[in-house]
Amino acid sequence: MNANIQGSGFSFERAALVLRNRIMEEAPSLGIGLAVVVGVNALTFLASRTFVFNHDNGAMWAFAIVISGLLLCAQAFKAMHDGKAGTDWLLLPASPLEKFTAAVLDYVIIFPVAAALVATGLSALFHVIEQAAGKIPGPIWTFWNVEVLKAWAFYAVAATVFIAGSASFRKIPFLKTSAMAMAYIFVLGILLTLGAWIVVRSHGNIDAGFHFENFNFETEDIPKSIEDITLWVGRIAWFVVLPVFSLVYGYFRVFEKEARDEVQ
Amino acid sequence: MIEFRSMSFGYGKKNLFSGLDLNLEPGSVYGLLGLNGAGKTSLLKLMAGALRPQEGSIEVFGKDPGLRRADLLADMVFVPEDPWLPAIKPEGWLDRYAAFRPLFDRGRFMALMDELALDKDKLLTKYSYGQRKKFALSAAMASGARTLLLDEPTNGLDIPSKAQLRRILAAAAEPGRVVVVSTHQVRDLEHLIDPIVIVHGGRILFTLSNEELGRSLCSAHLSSLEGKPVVYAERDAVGWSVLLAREPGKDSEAEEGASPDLELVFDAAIAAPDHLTAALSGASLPAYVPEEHLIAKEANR
Repeated sequence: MNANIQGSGFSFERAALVLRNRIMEEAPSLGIGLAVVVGVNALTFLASRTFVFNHDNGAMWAFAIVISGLLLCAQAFKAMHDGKAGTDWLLLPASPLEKFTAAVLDYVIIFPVAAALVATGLSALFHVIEQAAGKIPGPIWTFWNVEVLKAWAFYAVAATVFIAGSASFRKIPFLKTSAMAMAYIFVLGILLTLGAWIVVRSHGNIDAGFHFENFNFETEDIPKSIEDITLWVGRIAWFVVLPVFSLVYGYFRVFEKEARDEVQ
Repeated sequence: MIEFRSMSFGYGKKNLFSGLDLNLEPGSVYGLLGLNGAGKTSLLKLMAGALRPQEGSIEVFGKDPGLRRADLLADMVFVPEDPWLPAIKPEGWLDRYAAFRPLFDRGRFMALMDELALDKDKLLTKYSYGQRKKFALSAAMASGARTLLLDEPTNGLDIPSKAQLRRILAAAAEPGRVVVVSTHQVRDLEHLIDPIVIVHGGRILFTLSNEELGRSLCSAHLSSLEGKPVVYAERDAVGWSVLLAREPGKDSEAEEGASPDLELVFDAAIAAPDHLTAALSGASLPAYVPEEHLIAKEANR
């Protein structure tokens, strides 16, 4: 008998068991996803002797991993919301924190790493096949470069948002989370633009533009120090505040979840 | 031990329980009886921690089930009326789910699977309703948990399986364990559940042990209600099913059943709680016959 399984505090062994179950439950869906990727590439190879994912700088590999990862994140707590399976999920002998931790580890680290390894392997295979077919092969996609790691950093933050969305929304969590994120971005964009306008106006230039994706203002009149501060505020908001908020909010949604309403 | 203290609970604006107090001691198989919608399943889910009270508190062996601590969850099993099972085989289920329960007895589980004739090579999702129920009950019995919460365990079971379930449940009633069984089909478990807890109108109407019931009441089938200490009567096709008050100094067992029919006790508790209370305390009141049974009597004349 494993003493760590029995304890009342956080148990890594229990979290690992939950994680293992998650991976085993997802395996068939992931297999289908993999088959779709291979199928699409096989079709393009039949048509043009090139594997589409290995061209266009490998952007499709990263895109496929990010999109499938976010779709999985949005389904992270599907079983918890289920009318029948939900009670079993809630009463599985692991604490809400252990269950939540397993989901975060699964989608923020294990899935992207595993998917990237598989993608690298497939890309290498496609490269060899293209070469053998007498075509100029596309480059082998690898995850070990700065751009992909940056994409992972973006994905990791977005994943926490979609995990929180999954903990909150029972139906169409991906669409609801996306819509909510867009609404927040829109409001935040307006507020920042207004703020920028006020700051820039005080410096005599009202033609400033705000680039949300880079958190910078396109203006010559804003002092460098304000630009730097804005950039850091933006980075902290994206890489610290947003994921911390999402994780805390998501955890409490899981903790407070009760079995679906029914009177018998 | 399961303890409800001034517990209130409801769904939305609908209040189901208000200020409910209840103590369930280890070593007994409690029968939770109530009409449809009385909140039996909700009570079980509150004990399990799947629902949380709006006011008051619940403790299971001294711990708040609402916190869903892993050690408490491993020490209790809730078997719903229609159990959900994943699309894996029993061996896979053991590897994935029994691993969370340190006291799970695999040998006992396999023996119960054999006893209940469950196919070990079949996907659990291919099981029939009754088979899923048997599987979930086997898992509960082998779990080693001190709290077993069973919601309508006999629904969907065939007749031999009901007898098997009674035998298995009787073996599960250990001194340190609390077993709570919610059921509509009280006759299926009549000689097993003791005491009975009757839930009605958002409160616990009665908690009655078999001994307490047997001391004051017995049941009988009569052709006429005249001259008998009838507490409660229901007309059937050939006469009256009645609850009789045991008369002091008279051995009623000779002429009537040794213990009262629990369905009649339940009906009496819901329709005529004052009559039942009076009978249990030895007082006498005129027989209570539900109106629909009086009409049936008149029509038969």
